[in-house]
Formats: sequence, C-alpha cells, structure tokens
Amino acid sequence: MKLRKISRKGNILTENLVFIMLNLIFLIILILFLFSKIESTALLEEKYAKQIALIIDSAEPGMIIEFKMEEAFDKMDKGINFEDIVWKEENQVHVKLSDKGEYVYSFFNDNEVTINGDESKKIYIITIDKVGEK
Amino acid sequence: MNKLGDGKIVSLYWFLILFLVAAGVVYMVALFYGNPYDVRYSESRALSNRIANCISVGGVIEKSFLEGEINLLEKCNLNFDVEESYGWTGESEYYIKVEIFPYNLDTYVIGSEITNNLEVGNVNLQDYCKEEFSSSNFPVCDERGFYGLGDDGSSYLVNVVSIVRKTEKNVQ
Repeated sequence: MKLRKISRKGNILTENLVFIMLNLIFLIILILFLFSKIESTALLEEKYAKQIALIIDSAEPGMIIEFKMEEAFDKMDKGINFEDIVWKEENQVHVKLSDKGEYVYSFFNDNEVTINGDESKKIYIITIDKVGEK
Repeated sequence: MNKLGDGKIVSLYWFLILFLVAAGVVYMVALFYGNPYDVRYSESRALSNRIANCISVGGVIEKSFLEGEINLLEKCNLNFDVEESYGWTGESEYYIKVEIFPYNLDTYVIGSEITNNLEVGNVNLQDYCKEEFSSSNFPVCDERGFYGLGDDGSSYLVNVVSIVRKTEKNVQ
C-alpha cells in the first residue's frame, strides 16, 4: 500500500512538470514567432525603399538629403556592407538587408539622383541634380 | 471518474484555450505585419505638387501650358516607368490630368476649359476619382486646384488630378 502511494505522488509530480514544460514551450514558440515578425528585415527593406522613393519624389534639383539608417545598420546581415544596402537602378530604389532578397520601389522624379552610404555616420546621402547638370 | 482523470480533461481544455488564444495572436500579428505600407496617398500628393510647381513659378503660369500641347513627362521631368513585378510594365501605374480654366476675378465666373490635352499615363485610371472607388483597395486619386496668373495678368484656375495605382505593393 505504501509503495503504491509513493508512485502515485511521483506520477502527479511528473504530470505537473510535463504540463508546465508544455506551457512554457508553447509560450516560447509564440514569443519567438512575434519577435521574428517584428524584427523582420523584409519589413524594414520595404519601409526604407518606400521612404527613400517618397523623399526622391518630393525633392527638387539642388537638394542634398541625409537619411538616417541606424536601424538598418543594426539589423542587416553580417555578410553585407553598409554601403551596399541601398542603390538605384534607373528610377527604382533597391534595398537589401539580407541575402534572402531585396525590396524594389519606383519613383517618378526623372532628375539626376545619386545615393551614397556613409558607414561612419550610419546615413545615406541622396543628391538631386537637374538632368545633364552633373 | 477519479481525480486523475479530471485533471487530464482540465489539461486538454487548458491547451485548447491556449491554442485558441495563440491562433488569435498569430492571426492579428500576421494581419498587422503582413500588410504593406500604403504610401500611395503621399505619392499622389507629391505628384500633384511636382506638377503644380512645374506649371506655376511664383504664381505665374508658364506660357507653354496655356498655348499648346506639351509633353508633361518631359516638361516636368517625370518618369512613369515602374519595376517589373505584378505585370506592371504593361500599363502605366500613374495618371495625370491638368485642366486650366480662365477665371474672372470681378465676377468670380469660371470660363470654359482651355483644351491643351494636358494628360499623361493610364487613362483608364481616371474613373477611380469617383466616390464609389474611395476604398483603399482601389487606386488613390488626388484632385487639387490653385489659382495663377498669365503673363498678361489674366487669372486662371488650374485643376490637377493625379492618380497612383501600385495596388499590389501597397494593399494586401
């Protein structure tokens, strides 16, 4: 009788432990999912590409714009240079923070646009000139 | 039923509730972070501003806009090419229309439009300025007007309609 009682208590303890462990695992998975979504570089790429495209669209020739990109600097993949995360092809802004892909967004301003990164200040400098002036 | 059995049922019920809560959280997070940033309104405003700055300098409307047909893209340094995604290269994702009316400052009467055919882009988009298409799932239309003077001092009312589609990259 005594032995049986002890083993039942042991069962209850194991069941409780399993129950708590499962709950913890469940919560950890949920939190990891939330962080993976919030910290996603894809979201940041889209945000930066659209912001830069809008800045260029609103800019007039002769403007030099300094665009802070500290968040991109902190979250970009290790194999990528800061100077290579934003570039322009024709009238499209490309932003690439990881090897998985890039985000492209077009702008309608047909003036001469140059985009250069400055790693020491963690900024990008956007210069707008009249066509043929540069 | 013994106590141990009751406990198992409670655990199952507990996990069922946990799964329901988690599913709700995942759905809401996916909905929030899965939606792209919609910048079309800002884009259409920037387009209108660019056109307005191109037509009028210091409140004086440039003569070429009042005289004859001009290429808005060339005149205002615009490029309507877009990225090759979602089959966008077929038709333009933008549309601009400029209407210029003579305006009598004494009688406040707007005259008939000076027809210069000042429009460029995808003409099919102009229907989306109607009120029934005001939902975010449709192209964004920005209609604005301003007053300006001609070289001879006559006054004009200028209406600028700018429309941006780009729905696939701005709306889920």
